[in-house]
Amino acid sequence: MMEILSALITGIAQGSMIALIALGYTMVYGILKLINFAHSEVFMMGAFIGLFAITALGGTQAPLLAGVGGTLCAMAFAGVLGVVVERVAYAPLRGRGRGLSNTRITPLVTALGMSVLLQNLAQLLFTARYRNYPQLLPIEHTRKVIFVTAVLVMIGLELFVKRTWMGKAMRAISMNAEAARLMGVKTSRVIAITFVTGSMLAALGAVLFCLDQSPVYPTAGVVIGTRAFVAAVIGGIGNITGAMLGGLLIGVIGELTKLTPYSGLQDVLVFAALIAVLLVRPTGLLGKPGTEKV
Amino acid sequence: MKTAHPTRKPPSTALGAPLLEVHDLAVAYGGIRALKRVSLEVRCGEIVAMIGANGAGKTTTLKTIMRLLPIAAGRISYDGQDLAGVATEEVVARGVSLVPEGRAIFVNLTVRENLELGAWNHKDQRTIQETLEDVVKLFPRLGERMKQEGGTLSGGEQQMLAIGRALMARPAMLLLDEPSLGIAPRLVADIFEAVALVAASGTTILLVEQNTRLALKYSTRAYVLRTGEIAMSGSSKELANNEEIRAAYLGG
Ligand SMILES: Nc1ncnc2c1ncn2[C@@H]1O[C@H](COP(=O)(O)OP(=O)(O)OP(=O)(O)O)[C@@H](O)[C@H]1O
Ligand SMILES: [Mg+2]
Repeated sequence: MMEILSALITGIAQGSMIALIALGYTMVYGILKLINFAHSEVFMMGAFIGLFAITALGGTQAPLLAGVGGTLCAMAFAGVLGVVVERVAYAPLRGRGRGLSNTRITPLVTALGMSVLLQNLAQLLFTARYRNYPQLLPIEHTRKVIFVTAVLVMIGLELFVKRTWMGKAMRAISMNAEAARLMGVKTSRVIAITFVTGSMLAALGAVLFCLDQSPVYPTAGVVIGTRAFVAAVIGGIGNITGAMLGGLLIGVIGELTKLTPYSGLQDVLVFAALIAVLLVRPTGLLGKPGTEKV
Repeated sequence: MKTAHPTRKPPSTALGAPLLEVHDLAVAYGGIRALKRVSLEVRCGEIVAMIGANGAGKTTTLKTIMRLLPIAAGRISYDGQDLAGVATEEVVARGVSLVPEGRAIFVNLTVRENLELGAWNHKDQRTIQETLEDVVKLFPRLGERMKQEGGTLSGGEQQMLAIGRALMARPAMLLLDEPSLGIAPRLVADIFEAVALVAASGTTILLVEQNTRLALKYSTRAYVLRTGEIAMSGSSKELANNEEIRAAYLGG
């Protein structure tokens, strides 16, 4: 019984972190109807920068400064990287393909290419070695910090999207981008801010993830990125609350699997959950048919 | 609309002088020419109608004026300035607003949020509030439905919302794309009366309509668009009595 309870707690911590990454997929999809495959690499790059910054700031010598400072560095870097990816790889295609039929496929392929490019770049810059974060906090505390941070960030994001002008512009664009432009909304700026926000959340998730005893390496984004993407789809892609829910669900499923002899099947179960949800609700848990929310 | 607190400088064009000029405009979708050669002008303070059958190119003309579509050839100028290379957002900021065909309201946003987004270029809360009150005076039905999601409104109410939303920008010039489309006749009359009020307060209007009778009734001048070209133009009274127009667009 205690085992299940503790697995639930770990699962919720894991899940809230997955949710942080899922938010990036879902926000970008909501606005551009694009699956940003490079998002998992932004996560990975964020994890690397976080590690370097934490080490540079003193690591275990000054855990608070290193933890907070390192996280902020990682977020800033990822925010910039996210916008660069958008401007270099996606924005040029948007302008050109207007009104043509393959406008959704081309950026998708570009996104895949961007993902591979960043993985290889990381390989080149940082080598394929697995690196561990210094243990800044005892592990039980780390999980609490993860959970609390994730919840606060999600509440903040929900308020940002519902209450601020920028959030309203994001939702408007996701419903009808052309109409949003007709209101005078500078859509390219809103898109950039969406990428910045999503990428910063991914970096935050990355640092939290690695503080929780996970190593960082150039393909570290793949597994966790896939889970986060599945979380976004389960929740209803384009829907922020859905991404949070999906993340929690996947985190809990993952941890509960570890209690069984089939712990290796974690990702199989994650995908089974995805298929089960989509069979019952093709638009995901909170996705509305026909309409799309950020 | 009263403009007691104008936040945008009114057009420098004098009343009665050309505010919008479209000269030999050509527009293509991929390889297909939708507009071949369209020239028209709308003078400051006028209500000008553009009529024409399905696929004549009316929507294409309006979207190109708003710079949502690239210009293949020709020139568009507003208030004496060329709109080539100007972004849609900037056209809106200069004082032109479009009420798009099919209304294009934000279905999951509330009526209030829809209207607020219309005022995107005005960050001054007081101006927004005053404009909102003006819009509600014009369309009292919207006032009763502020908290409702846009998608739950009836077609006519959505059209009112789309017009109200465009007015929130306090445009000097309003483009309307088939405001009567798919709307109960009773509400169509309300909507046209409202448009007439907006015009009376000094907003210049370019009205696209398939309902030729209404378009000619409410406008001072009109253009007839046929397969991407202006086939005829003149005062609305003249056109309403023109044999060819009566046969083709007014059902005899
Ligand atoms: N996105 C598009 N891609 C290709 N062709 C288009 C596109 N939009 C419009 N067209 C074509 O351009 C021409 C003009 O269309 P437009 O929508 O401007 O006509 P309209 O006068 O507004 O018609 P309606 O009264 O039906 O609204 C039509 O032949 C149409 O098929
Ligand atoms: Mg049309």
